[in-house]
Amino acid sequence: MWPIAKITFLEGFRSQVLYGIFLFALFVMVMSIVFSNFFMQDIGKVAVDFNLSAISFAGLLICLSVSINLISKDLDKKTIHFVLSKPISRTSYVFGKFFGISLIVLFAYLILTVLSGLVLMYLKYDSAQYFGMFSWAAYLQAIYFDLLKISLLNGIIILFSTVTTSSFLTMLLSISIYVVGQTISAVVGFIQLQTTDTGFATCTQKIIDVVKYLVPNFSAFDFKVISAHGMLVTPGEFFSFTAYGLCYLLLVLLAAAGIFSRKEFL
Amino acid sequence: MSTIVEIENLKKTIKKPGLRGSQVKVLKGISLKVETGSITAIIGLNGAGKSTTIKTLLGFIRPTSGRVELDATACIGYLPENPYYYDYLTLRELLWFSAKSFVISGCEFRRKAEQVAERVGMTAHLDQRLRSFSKGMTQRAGIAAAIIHDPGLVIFDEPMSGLDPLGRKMVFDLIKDLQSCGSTVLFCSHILSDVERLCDRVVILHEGRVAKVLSHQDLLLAHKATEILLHHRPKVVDLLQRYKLDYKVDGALISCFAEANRFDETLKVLSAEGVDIVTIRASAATLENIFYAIVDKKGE
Repeated sequence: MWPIAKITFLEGFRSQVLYGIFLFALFVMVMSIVFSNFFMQDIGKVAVDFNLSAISFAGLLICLSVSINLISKDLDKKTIHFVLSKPISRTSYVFGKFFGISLIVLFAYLILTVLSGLVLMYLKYDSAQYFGMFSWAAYLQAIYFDLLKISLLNGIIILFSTVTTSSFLTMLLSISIYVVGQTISAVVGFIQLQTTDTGFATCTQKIIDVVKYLVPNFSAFDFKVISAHGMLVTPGEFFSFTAYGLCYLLLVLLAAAGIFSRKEFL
Repeated sequence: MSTIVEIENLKKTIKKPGLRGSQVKVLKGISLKVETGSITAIIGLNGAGKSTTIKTLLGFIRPTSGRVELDATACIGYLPENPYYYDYLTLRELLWFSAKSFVISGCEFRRKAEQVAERVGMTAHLDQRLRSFSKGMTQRAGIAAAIIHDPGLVIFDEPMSGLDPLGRKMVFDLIKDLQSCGSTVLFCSHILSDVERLCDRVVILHEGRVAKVLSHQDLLLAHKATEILLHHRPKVVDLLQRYKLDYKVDGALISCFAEANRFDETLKVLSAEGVDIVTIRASAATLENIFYAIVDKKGE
């Protein structure tokens, strides 16, 4: 598994797309210095939200460009024949790819966290009076959960890569799951608020009930607003959200390994 | 001599892409054996089933029916057809991946990497990224990655593809060297002259079936065969097929190749059936002639 993870990491980390994403994220972070000044009294909250959004969006872009490319290219260009001719099991391949991609994302998040930290330190130095609520622990907590969310999305990308043969389809399906996962809790909340007269049809509610259990609740990992207010989750919540993400991820990867083991590579 | 690969009545049906994709029988019952320490080539037209046979052998695809057996102790080195590797890796990293998969230690790897890179003429490019490689260089890199762990069974799919004449000679010599070091080599190629000079056995695949298996001795005998030129008539074609004689249609004429030990018998058959003989001449039968005789019968 280690050789696969290492070459995946090297291949992904040297990709020019990744540097483009870094530059874009850095641009957004620097812009937060300008834009946060438009929100008097809320400079601290806006700056934190802006920087966390930049990291989150960069993570999403890494998933949708680098991660998808790393797996689909193996199948498209038949590099998989070279890899699987070695004594490497297909399960090791799936997990190796995941760990390689996770290493890329981890390194990218480390770099982005340092960059955004520098921007926030500058703002804090410049406008200390607006950073009363700011907490580094809350900031890192939001980044940690975002990293968990992106890892889960990477697992889903790997699952779809094993099912489809086209990188475009993988991207389309992954984006769909991401959008559904981000909005499902809001939709469920909205349905629960409806009265019986104006409510949804029973079948719609049943479909949403099924989707609610199938699709991961990505919005559960969104702690940007809480972090902007300098708040921390309780240890119980911290561990339950972590366990939710990791269990879901493990299930997705096992499903991907199961499908991949049965796949034929013509 | 022991058998390292045994394929028995291998059949593979593939569904064409698309929702209503029809079923295509790619392999229609292939049986072949590869003996340990031998050089065996699989030749055939595009779509004959060469690569599919190899992919089934390596477990990339499952057979629809039939049996594929590989000596469990055999360590395999594989060069895919049109190899494509990781753009941003260097040749050294690609070789590291190959070696590490076969649990070769760091020290051993460094020695082996230099050794195989020199063998394929890529020493100067060890630390160059693969994306900057030409087709021929990628092919050489693939060969190096396939042999770095001293495999017992080497499977090359079109090893000479994209190589310049020097590269072709390198592969030719390498295959010979691998055999002399005790490895078994199984490869596919379209370069029949090389196949003829290299192989202990040649398997000709045609339309998903084994059309002919030739040993090195068969090839030597073929050189000593006699060519009998006949007028092209449907009756003649039927007759040659009935008596399992090698022939090649060439416009209005048919060249029939009779080995020395079957020459008298062939003449008897032809005269008994009243077939007019245009001329008889010493044949310069090559693997190419035999191959064309099998696959190129459009004139019938």
